[in-house]
Order: sequence, then C-alpha cells, then structure tokens
Amino acid sequence: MYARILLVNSRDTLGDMIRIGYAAFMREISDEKLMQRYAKGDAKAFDQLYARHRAPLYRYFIRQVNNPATANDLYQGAWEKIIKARHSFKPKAPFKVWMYRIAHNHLVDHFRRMKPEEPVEPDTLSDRHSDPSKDAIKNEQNELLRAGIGALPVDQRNTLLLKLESGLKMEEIAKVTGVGRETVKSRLRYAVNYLKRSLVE
Amino acid sequence: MNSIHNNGENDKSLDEGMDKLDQAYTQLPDEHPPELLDQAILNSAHRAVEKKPHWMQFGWLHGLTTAAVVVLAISLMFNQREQLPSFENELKVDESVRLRRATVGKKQSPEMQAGEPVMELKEKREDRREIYQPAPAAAAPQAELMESSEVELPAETTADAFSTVNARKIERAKKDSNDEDLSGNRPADEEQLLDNATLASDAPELEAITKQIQPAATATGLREEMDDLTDKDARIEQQLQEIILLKQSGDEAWKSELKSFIENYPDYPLPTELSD
Repeated sequence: MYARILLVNSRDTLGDMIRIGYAAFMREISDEKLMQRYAKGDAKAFDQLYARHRAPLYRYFIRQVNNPATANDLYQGAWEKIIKARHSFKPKAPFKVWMYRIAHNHLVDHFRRMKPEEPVEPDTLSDRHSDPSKDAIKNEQNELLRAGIGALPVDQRNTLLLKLESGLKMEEIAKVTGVGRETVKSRLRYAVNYLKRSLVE
Repeated sequence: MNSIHNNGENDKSLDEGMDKLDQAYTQLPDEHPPELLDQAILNSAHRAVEKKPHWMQFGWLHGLTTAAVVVLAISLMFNQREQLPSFENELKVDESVRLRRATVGKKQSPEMQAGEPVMELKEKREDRREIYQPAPAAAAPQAELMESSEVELPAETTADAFSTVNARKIERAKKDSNDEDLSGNRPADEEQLLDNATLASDAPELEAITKQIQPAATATGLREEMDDLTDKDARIEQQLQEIILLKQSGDEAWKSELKSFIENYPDYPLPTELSD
C-alpha cells in the first residue's frame, strides 16, 4: 500500500519535474527556434512564443487605432497570418522583425481599407480621451502622452510604437516598414520633438 | 565636418529624447488582449499543426485506391457477363444429350428384351457414349465435317448395313458363348456387339444428334470404321446370295461354292437356306 502511494507520488513528482524542466527549457529557447519548432508541429512552442509577444503586439495595435474592437480584430488577424505563414519563416532573420513586418503590413492594409474620412485624426483622439471620468482615474501625464501618440501622423506613430513596443533597432524598423534607416531616424526625431512639446505645454 | 558634428548632436539629442519618452511610456497602464482572444488564437494555432489521421494525410492515395477497386469490380462484372453465354450453351448440349439418352433407353433391340440384364447394358452403353460427348467449342467445325461426309454416304444405307452385320455378329457370339457363360453374365465382346446393334438401329437419330455434338475426329473415325465393315460384309453377303441363288436354281455348283466360302470364312454364320 505504502509502496504504491510512494510509487504514485514519485511518478507525479517525476511528471512535475519533467513539466517544469520542459517549461524552463522552452523559456531558454530563442524565438527563432520556437518558431521553427512550431512550424514542425510543436504546438507548445507556439504557446511560449505567444506568451512572450502577446502584450507588446496588442499594445502596438491598440495604440495605433485607439479602439479596442478594431485593435482586437487587427491583433487576431495578425496572429492568424503568422500562423499561416509559419512555414515561410527563415531563422536567418530575427523572429521579431518577421512578426512585426506581418503586423505592420496588416495594419497598413487596414488603413488602406478605411475610408478617407475615417483615419484617426489627432483632434478626434484628443477629444476622445478628454473624458472627465477617465481623466480622473488615469494619470494626467499618461493621458497626455497617449493623446500625443495618437495625434502623431501615422508613419511617425508607427515608427515610434515599433521602437517603444518591440525594442527593434533602427535598421530593423527600417526593414519592417520598408524604408531607409535615415527615414526611420527622421520620423522618430519628429515624433519625439512633437511629444516633448505637447507634454511641456 | 560641421554636418558630421551636427549629425552626432542630433543622434545624441534623439537618444536622450527617446530615453525620456521610454521612461514616460513605461508608466502607461499595461494593456493586454482579452483572455477569450488569447484562447481563440491559441486554439487556432493548435488546430493548424494538429496531426491528421494517417489515411487523411494520404488523401490522394485513398482516392486512388477507391478508384482502382471500383474499376476492378466493374471489369470483373463484365468478364463474368461475357462468360455466361458459353455456360448456357453447355447447358443446352447437356439437355440434348439427356434427351437422346431418354430416347435411346426407350428403343431396345429384340435381343436385349429377351431376358438380358437390360439396365446394366444401357448404363454401359451410355457411359460409352459419354466418351463421344464433344467440347462445346468444337460444335461448329464438327457440323461441317458431318455434312461433308453425308454427301459421300447416305445415312439410311449405312444404318441398314450396320444393323445387319451386327445382328449376325450377335448371333455368332451367342452361339460361342452359350457353353462358356451360363451364369447370365455376358462376355464383353457380346455386350459391345449388342451396343453396336442398338447404335445401328438408332443410326438416323444418332446421326442427327451427332451432327450437333460429336467432335469431328471421333465422327470421322467412326464413319471410316463403318465403311470398312459395310464393304467387307456386303461382299460376303453378296457371295452368300449368289450361293443361295445357285442352290435355288438347282445348280450343284453351290456346294463347292459353299465349301470354299466356309474355308474362307469359317466363323461367319450361314443363312438358314444354307445352314441345313
């Protein structure tokens, strides 16, 4: 009886150890390896990959459109594209660059589909976030920053969010957006100066 | 030099501005996707790499196998249909043979009716005839051969001669076997003769059927044998008839003729006019 309990406990412990070891192993693996594993059929690798990038990617979308419903659609659509394109991933390029390029293209498609009067206007964004009930809850500086980011032109906002959310280098952002490095730097400079001014004012 | 210096200053100011902005940005409240959305995306990802059953992975092979089986089944079905008519022909031939047997069984020679084991003989005769049953495929050429032989030899003449000769042979065989076989068992030779007699009596009918069913080779051999027997016996009979005519005319030469005939054919049975 005791031997049986001991056997069951030891088996459970061994199972836990294996699970913990596997999870630790997964945490250590690079994004590129995880994506390769997922492309070969390891669904757990995708779980790990998703856990790593879900929040930054979601913020990238929601701070672009400032509309949770649209952001949800864009976010899900981007992940669907990543899942479909899993076999086309080449480990030579960093996974982040590949993933944000898909997300960026998805977003650009979204903006193209929108009617000309629909694009997010800085004034509209500022008005939307001047809700007194929200202002009361949130920090004033954060709200100003959020409104300032929303008020930026699309290209500058896109470049800034890629820099802030993904932590990509200028060259990588250039690859994602399909422009030159100097263009990225220029857009960032304009965005930073605009936000500085708006925050000071 | 100035532009390089300016670029360096710009980069420095950009880096400083970015650091400050980054610090302010991290103060923003953290935003996460809804849990339902997470679950939907994970489910979708898992479904995409879900392993399909083995037979679904080779869907094309499954389809090909099904098509091959269907084609094979259809070809087998057609093959069976093609074989069916020949089987029906065989059935028809069997039926004609059965009818023939029934007809022959009704007609019995006088010798056989005189207290002989008729059934046994009939069976043996039928067994012997079964040897002559043709293969169905040989029916057509055989009919042609029989027709060609018909021209050379009239059927009635052949049948009569055949029956006369065989009847004499039976009589002779009876005489020989009377002392030897008292137990009722016929010698094989006698049975054969009786059988031949029956065949001869049924000759026209038999010929009509053999036109349809006998193989060409067997029919030709039988015909040749019958021709030989007929020629020989006809000569003998003619000789005997001449002797009878001599006797009836009162010529004494018939005795010497008869003597020479008996020397030539010692076993040949003499007609009643000459036997005394």
